[in-house]
Amino acid sequence: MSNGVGSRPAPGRARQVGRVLGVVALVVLAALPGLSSNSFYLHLAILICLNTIFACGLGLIARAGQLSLCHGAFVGVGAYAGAVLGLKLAAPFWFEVAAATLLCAALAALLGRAILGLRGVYFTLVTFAFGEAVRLLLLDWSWFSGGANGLAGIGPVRLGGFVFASRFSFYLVALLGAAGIVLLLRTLLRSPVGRAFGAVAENAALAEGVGISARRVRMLAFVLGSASAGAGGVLLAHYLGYISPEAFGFPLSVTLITMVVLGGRTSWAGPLLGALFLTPLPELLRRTEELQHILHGLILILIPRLLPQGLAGAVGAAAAIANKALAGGPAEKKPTAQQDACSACRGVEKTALAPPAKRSPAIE
Amino acid sequence: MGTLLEVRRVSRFFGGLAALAEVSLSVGEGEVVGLIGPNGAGKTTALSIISGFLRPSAGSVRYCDREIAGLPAWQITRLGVARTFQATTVFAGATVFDNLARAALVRASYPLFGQLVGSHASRAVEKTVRAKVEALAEEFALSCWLSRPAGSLSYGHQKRLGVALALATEPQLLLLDEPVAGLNPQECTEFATLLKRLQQNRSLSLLLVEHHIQFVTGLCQRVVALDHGRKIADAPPAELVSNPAVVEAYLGSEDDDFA
Amino acid sequence: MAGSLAAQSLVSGLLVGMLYLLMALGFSLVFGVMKVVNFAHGEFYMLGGFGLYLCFAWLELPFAVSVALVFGAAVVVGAALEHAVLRPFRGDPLNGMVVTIGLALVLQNGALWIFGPNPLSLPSVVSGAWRLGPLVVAASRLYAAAFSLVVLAGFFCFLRYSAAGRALRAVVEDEEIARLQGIRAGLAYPWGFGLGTGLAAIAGALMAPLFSVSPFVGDTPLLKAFIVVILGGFGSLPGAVLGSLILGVTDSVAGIYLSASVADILQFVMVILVLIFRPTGLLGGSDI
Ligand SMILES: Nc1ncnc2c1ncn2[C@@H]1O[C@H](COP(=O)(O)OP(=O)(O)OP(=O)(O)O)[C@@H](O)[C@H]1O
Ligand SMILES: [Mg+2]
Repeated sequence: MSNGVGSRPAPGRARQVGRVLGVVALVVLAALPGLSSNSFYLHLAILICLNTIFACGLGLIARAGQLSLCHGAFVGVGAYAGAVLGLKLAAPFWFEVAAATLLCAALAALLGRAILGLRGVYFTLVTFAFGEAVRLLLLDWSWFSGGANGLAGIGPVRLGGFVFASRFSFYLVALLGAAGIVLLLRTLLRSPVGRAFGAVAENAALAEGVGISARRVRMLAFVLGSASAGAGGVLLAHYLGYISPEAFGFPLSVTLITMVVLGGRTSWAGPLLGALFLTPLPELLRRTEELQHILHGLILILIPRLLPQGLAGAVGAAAAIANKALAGGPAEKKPTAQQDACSACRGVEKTALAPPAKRSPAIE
Repeated sequence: MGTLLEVRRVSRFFGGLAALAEVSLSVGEGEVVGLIGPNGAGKTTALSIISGFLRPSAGSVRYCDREIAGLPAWQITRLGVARTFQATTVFAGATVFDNLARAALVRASYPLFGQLVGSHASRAVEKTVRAKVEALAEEFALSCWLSRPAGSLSYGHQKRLGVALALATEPQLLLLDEPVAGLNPQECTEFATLLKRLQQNRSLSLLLVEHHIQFVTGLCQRVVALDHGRKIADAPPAELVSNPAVVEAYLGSEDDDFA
Repeated sequence: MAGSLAAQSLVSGLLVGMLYLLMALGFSLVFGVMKVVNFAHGEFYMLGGFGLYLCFAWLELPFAVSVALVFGAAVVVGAALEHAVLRPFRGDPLNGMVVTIGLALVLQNGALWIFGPNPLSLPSVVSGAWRLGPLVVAASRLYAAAFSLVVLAGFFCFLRYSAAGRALRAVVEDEEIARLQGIRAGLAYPWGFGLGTGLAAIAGALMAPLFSVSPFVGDTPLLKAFIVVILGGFGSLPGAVLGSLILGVTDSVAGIYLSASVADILQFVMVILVLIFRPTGLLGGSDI
């Protein structure tokens, strides 16, 4: 998403902190409904799970250096695909998820084929136009989508004879989905492919120079990210029971971007943290919706400058500093050890680069 | 000695300007060829065309008897042609280790699906990549900076890292764009030694763009001179000094270097 | 009768196109100078409308004075915002876009918080209508069109004949070369942005008496500016002229023959196609 977001210097500590943070966030999410018997917390936890799924997809795209403004539209495509299959064809849940995922992947691949050669800004604009076009089409094609009235009466998730009718049972499904996608993001980002993502995001020309196809990497990120949004959309449709086109417009994409920016674009824990912090916001600021949007706006303005790596990066850095300060004595010792290494290195430098006996042949 | 790279009558126009006009040159296996010329002569353009960053307007580029003109840069890198850039070009925000690891990826085969289901495959890749990166860092005397962000290194170190990045892709032909520009004389000498050793150890072929004439004449077996996009000389360094066209092109600023 | 209907809509299409042009020129200028897509551009249109409401309806200043005041204030506010908010992201267009999206959220919802969601209507500047054969054009529209024509002429003169305008154009052409020629490109950023927001605000101010003002009025003009600029080519000022005339006329004509939603969808499909096949726009250069 930015030119300067290569993988940050992550010494073992910061990485561990990141892992701990991600696990803690997942545990909080899992424990949230247990806090009270109030079903409000359960509702909140479900929404966090769903937002995590969406934001992880967007985070993946961002990790490859692209800003997609049609992520909300892909959630919508997934939701509508799932709902229509369920309502009109009584398709089983797994089939809905598979179909929505494939549909979104195919759409993203088609769009990506045409536009991923474009420079960042143009890519973003096409995604914006595509998102708007999807919303308008959903409004217009009422035979399929019910138009502005939306689709109502979407039933609960049914899987192999079991009906996840209660909120709690649905929560388990959503939690499983969120945990699964967070794990997937983590494996992907820490794999060689993740390295290629970072390279393309930071400097696409140099990445091509070292043999990484920027186009393929971006395509992979865009298709996987958009497809996961589609899968999440099916869950959302089943949870709400009612969907309408306006819910999947530009504002949803912006909210998801805010989550990714706040949580951090380079860490697998970022989207999860962003969803965890921002999902409850509308509930806290229920009466003043504009205040919530202003807060989102301030996050988008301030976080890229103050915490370019988002909360995940900030917590990692803070922990590293605290660690140094707390360590005291040993911390004093460390630099000298490093200096030793460096003087050794300098020795190497001397022998390797400028053997004193032999002068450079360049000088005649 | 077989021919590794064969550039035939390549031209490149920017608007009306011919940055390269029907330039032909070749690099043999294990050969070190210099490419010189005054500012704006078209040297960088030539490297960019060979490495796939620019398309030629006309002409052909053959590498290992295969037409590569017009292939995307990453594919050409995979075929074994690596380049460095005139400006220091490293992944500034990433650590030196990550820089090299990103470049070393090309030669590591990593099954995507294997990574998604389990991380065994990627761990194995990671291990080989790590070993390779450490060996390279050792060779380039960058070992103690491995965990530093590349952008925080000194200019000289960044230049060196740039070459290390190119080498991490295990090229057969290395294209260097002004590798010692901006370095002090001692660093230049060190760099020349390093290059010489690298070239011998790996039987690399080199195409070297450089303004520093002593550096070029000391390293290269043959030198191609460009001026205003045209080839004006192609000769061993010793004969270059007596070539009137070259002296003419360099009249003034670079004269001293020939003395 | 159908013919005169078409002619009627053609005329109003030209008028609308002129206002799109004001929006698109500012948008294009900002993109040309900073390479940033300004998602907050529509909010400056909205603020221009509220500014005019304050000056014209509330303080009861003359219309021309109100418009001038709105313009000046918008330029200064825009330049200050660029300096305070966007400066760290020069050369980083993606983060720049994220920041302008944030700015749009803050401005729109700030206005919503202060002014509330209900549209405010303004007294009309002039009344009556103007007839030419079968054509009837509301005088207020004509007035707005005349004003925007003056502003456009002023803007073109500024770009063509003033030193500052020429410097701005040089930066749009090629920042590096402009720098080499001794132009202080650092100044071009805040003032280019300020001028862009000023043009959006004028468009909002001129439109305010025709329609009403609410925090959401900027959304559509922003979309139209997007479309115009994509059609005409980013950073291309002649392209913006062509694009807004095309869009203004197709908008009005398509409005008669197609349902509004189909016309909207067609616009976006057109935009996507142009971006894919000719990303530099109809009049943009070939270099991308
Ligand atoms: N992308 C481009 N667009 C337009 N003109 C270009 C472009 N790249 C190079 N040129 C022009 O082509 C000519 C050759 O440029 P090139 O960079 O190849 O020169 P060079 O020999 O590498 O010079 P230097 O020693 O300064 O690096 C120059 O006149 C330059 O202005
Ligand atoms: Mg050059």
